[in-house]
Amino acid sequence: MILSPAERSYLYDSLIQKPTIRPDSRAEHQMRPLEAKTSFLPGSNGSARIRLMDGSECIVSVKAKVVVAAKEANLIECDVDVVGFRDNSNFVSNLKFNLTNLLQQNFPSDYLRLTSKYSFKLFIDCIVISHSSYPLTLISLTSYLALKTTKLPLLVSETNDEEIAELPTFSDDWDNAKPIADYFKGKGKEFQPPIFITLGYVGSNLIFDPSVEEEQVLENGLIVTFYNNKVITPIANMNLAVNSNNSNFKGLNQTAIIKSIQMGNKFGGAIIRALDALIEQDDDNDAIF
Amino acid sequence: MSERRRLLGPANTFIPNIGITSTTEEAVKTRKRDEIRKFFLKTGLIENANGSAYLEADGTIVQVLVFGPRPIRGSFIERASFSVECKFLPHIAQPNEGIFNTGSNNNNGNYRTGLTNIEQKISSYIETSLLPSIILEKYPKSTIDVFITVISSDSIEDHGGKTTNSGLLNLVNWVLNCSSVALADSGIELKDIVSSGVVRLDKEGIVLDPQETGGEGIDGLVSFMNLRNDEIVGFWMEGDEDLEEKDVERIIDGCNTMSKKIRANINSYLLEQAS
Repeated sequence: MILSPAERSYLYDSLIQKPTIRPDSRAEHQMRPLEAKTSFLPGSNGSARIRLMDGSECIVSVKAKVVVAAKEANLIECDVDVVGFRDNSNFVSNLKFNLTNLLQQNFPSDYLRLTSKYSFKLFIDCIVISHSSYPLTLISLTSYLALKTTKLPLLVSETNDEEIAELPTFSDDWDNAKPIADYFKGKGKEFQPPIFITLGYVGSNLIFDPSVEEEQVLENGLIVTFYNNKVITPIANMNLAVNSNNSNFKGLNQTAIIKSIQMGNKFGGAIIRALDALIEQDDDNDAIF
Repeated sequence: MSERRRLLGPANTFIPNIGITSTTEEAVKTRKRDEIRKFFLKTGLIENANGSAYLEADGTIVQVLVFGPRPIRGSFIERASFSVECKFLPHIAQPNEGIFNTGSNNNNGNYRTGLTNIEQKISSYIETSLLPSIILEKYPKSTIDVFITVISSDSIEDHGGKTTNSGLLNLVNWVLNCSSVALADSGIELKDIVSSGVVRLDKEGIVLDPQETGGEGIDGLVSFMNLRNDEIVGFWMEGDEDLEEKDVERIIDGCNTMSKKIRANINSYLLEQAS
């Protein structure tokens, strides 16, 4: 346990105030400041790194492979690695399940189709180098940046291979590679990968992106999905304080769940805009340290 | 009270009748939209566990064992630690395992060393949902362990070519109800018995306990403590349709209706046991 009983009680009492008083003076809908860098891994189609002020750091790499579409159960495969946790531990398995489920349900993988037979398959590898609070939002925001900046090589062979069997060939020039977003443009749709927003429930307040100290006194936690400018499924509740003896943990009520969706709808767009601005501002300077 | 430090083989072991197959044809039943499946429930089948429950609902068969409160060694803890482990029997297909269990290194051929991603997710949901109901303060320096075995599962994962998690939610619903009965059977002090409901919201409205649904829709699994002002202890929604706030309200209400039906069944069973 990282807080003493007196600290817990003080923190809990300030969080249940109306309006809530958070230890770092954030508003209830405010995320923690973050620093991001994109497209820095030369061997990947897309990559991103996010660092938070408390030293949390996550790197995501997206790689594409040409596969026979009919043979694949899914066109997106995620892997999560958290330093200090076994790969088959409950903590890592749950992160991986959630991320896979998010992209499986909400990523329009039809657009990865190359020809009638072949398709791109994306492998999303996430490494959480260090974290203090529950890292699901961190991972999903980093994968948003990585997917948004992923470039796929330009197809030069025919897209119709129904009659003549032909392996897809790609342009040798990497400068011709197109971002995934371009594959969507022709279809009149904006490419916006889904993200997870973590909310903490305390008193009757809901707080965005709880820090590790706040997680210790939360009464419950909610994970909501934000996609195409609105809240969508999967939505679930969970105990964010992993491995803690959180004596405040209790049930939710219907109002809290509805409020979490309203808050997600209201403030989720701002998160997406901030992330998009980060990509635009990112300079091509290769130094990442 | 039985031996708590060791796991002994059950005292009431018997050899099953292997080789006798049932020839009864599965009757095709059509349920009304607001009707839930009939289920069979029995507690106390396993004598060397502190509590146990066995549940059958059509092809879904679940068994839950509760061990605890067991003393722990080492440093003092004020409240009992609570853990849940859910396992499928090795030959049982897990819902959507092709998607969620890929690349896991604990599947090396004939045996596996840990839980799969789906099993871990179910374990977490059950743990999150039951945690608020147990009075852990009553059991310092001890652990309460819940072991769930999915013996059979008839979850459907394919709805008109699109994979959904509808079958997974339906299975978890029965696992949760069975686990809370097992906890009640163990005599561990509870604030309330958690019960849950699962619904699907499609174009025509709410379907309770959906099994054979096709097309688009939103699935919801909500677990309640019905005697404590319908407090929501577990919440999980899946689906591919746009989500409106009023839909969420309808799903929660539908789950509450189903949860109360199941709770009424559990109550009458437990009263019968007690008398």
